[in-house]
Amino acid sequence: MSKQFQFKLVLLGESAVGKSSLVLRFVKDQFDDYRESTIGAAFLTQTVTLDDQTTVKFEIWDTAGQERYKSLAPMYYRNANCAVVVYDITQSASLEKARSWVRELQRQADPSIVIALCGNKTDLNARRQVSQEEAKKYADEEGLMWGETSAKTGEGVSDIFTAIAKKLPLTAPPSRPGANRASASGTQAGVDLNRNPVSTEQTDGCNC
Amino acid sequence: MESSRPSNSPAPPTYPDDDPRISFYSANQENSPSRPQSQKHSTVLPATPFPTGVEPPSRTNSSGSSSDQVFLAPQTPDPSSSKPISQVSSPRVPAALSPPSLRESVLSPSSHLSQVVITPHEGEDEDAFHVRRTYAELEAVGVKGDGYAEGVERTRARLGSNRDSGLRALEALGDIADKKRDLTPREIEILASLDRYGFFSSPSHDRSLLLCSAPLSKRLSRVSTTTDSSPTAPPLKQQVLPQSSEKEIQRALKWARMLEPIVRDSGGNVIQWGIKASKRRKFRERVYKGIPDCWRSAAWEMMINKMSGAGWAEVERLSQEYEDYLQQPSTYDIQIDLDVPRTISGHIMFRTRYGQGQRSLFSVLHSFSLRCSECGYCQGMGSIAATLLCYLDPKRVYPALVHLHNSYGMHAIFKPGFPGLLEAIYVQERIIEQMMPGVYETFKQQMISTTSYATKWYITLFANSVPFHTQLRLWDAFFLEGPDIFIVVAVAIVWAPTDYITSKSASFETILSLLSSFFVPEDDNALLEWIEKVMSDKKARASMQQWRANWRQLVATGQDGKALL
Repeated sequence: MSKQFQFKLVLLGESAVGKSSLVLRFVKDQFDDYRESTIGAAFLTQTVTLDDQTTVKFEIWDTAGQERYKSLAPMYYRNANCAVVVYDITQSASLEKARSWVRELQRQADPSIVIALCGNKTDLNARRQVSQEEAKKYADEEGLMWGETSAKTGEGVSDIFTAIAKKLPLTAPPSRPGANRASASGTQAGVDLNRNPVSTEQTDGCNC
Repeated sequence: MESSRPSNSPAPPTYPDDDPRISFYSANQENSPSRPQSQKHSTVLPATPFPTGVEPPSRTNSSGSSSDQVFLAPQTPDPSSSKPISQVSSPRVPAALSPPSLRESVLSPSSHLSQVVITPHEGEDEDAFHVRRTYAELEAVGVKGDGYAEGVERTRARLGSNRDSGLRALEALGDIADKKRDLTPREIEILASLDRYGFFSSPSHDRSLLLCSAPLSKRLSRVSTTTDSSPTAPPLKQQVLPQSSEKEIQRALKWARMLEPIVRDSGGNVIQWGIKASKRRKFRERVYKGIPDCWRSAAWEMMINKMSGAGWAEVERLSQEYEDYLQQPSTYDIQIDLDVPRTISGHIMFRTRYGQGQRSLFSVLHSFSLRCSECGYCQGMGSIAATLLCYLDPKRVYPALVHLHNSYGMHAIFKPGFPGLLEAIYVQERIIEQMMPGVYETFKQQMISTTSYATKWYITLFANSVPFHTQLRLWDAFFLEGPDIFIVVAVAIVWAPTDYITSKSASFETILSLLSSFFVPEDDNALLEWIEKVMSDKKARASMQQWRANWRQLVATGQDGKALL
């Protein structure tokens, strides 16, 4: 008997910090030097195996980074179970932007949302502007998970998603926040994905 | 320098323009429509690219002399765009291009590089100025291996101050030797591997989906059945490639007989085309059949100007505005610079960092960002501008973008809140609700909001959502018909896999993955024929207008919040 849990994950952060590249590395283990900018958002899925008994499937919403697209962001982080807020370790301004995303999530997203702060581009360590100490300190203050990654080399990428999977409440009953699929009312349609995280229990692992 | 290029260019007629500033649109095309590329090089460049009394860099004279380098973007300074900002003085390495540690040591008097003087505006962000200055300076000197080399990053990450990185950066600047040398076997191999539009390879897509022709043979009408079988997503099999070149040549000849010159420049080159009165009724049908690629730039500009009611004088005025804006700072420069190198980077014109295509793209987006204070620069504009740059020179791309903004509804698409996007989505949903109630019901049950998959379709006009040749066909129709076309394309994409969407095995994840795909039509013609039928259906078009009006009413009365899926 194995259990598969499903969670909605959103990626947020300034433009060109590597959100799509992180997802591409995580989902397909690939890297493009020049990945087209994301328009609106992109939807992908990936499953993490925690142990023989447990897998976690992420429904990933990779969002556009430009400020203009911020107005669309609520529909992606609404009902999200977890968020990866990405900054670029070579651009200190991107950490500021990450802080503002964290504040917005703390105000607007589901209170139980698990937030991971992710410093990307460790392959460019020579040009580092954001120290590990500074980021870690901020993450600790806000109670965020924190990690550094390089989507280019793959370093740290699966670690951060696995860590999130472990942190999610896998023992929670199916009625997680927003898990009631019929509750479309009361939300703003049109800018509402209103997708519910579903914790499904499957009998046995073969779902092919 | 009457002509900067020889007219016996070996380029096949369907290859991309190597220099977007020298558009074959303006060439004497009517006599030889099937060989437009050989004609385009006769475009007249202004006779005096440099201020009188200043000797131009010697490579100016050599830039056009080697016809075998037709794909190397010329490194001739663009006289029109660099004139106002550059003062060619003593040959020196431009300030932004050389790292401090090297600045003095490499400034030998024999350097052929010109110096571009560009000064920051009051209050201009330092980094933004660095971006603007770097592009302007490289516009004057060019970069080495343009089209082949990756190039050296100079803005996103400032050049390091160590000597190695500085030397690498200097190495990458254009020079005479690079222009004069023969192509290497490797470069020839690269050229031979390009597709007809100039792409090295198709960008990788997370998912590709075949848009089958069979459903598209059935006209858009109400379908009420819900299949109970569980069809799997159609496999991606070999698509029908765009029409054979033989057929296209025949079409090009027909186009040559259909169009006539309206405006010529002082050198006699056609700069504006019109449709012969006797051929007017054929025009629409021929656009839907696909504009022969050699006529695309002429036809696109003609249709855009017609839709916007702009004459040649207006195009010229906007070209001047483009030049003027190049002198001003834009608060969007840093964002534009982040997006330029990742915009259709698989295309030879846009591949090399700060190469000809990237500089043109930066310039066009920079100037356009200053045009409308509400829209500024919005991610997504880049793909549109880049596609236009494959067919028009930057001074003509800018007016085209302005017309798209003013007359094709793009203002409402780009401006904050994307009101035009939401309107298009509302109309799309009404059509789906009316014609495919089963699909609409599925979307509703699965809570699949249209915004989550269709946003990029409307903002990039299907760039990166369909193959380039398909995108061109859609744009042919778009320039003719206006923005309704993309709503119909969106409906077609939902229409083709209807059985799959409504099958019992489909889920939120599978449907959304399907609709987020890169769509490869089995046959472009089948898709265009389907679209044409809807677009010529007066009742359908009237409904679309009515729904647009309804949406605006909902917005006006604050009821739009719950009107979309």
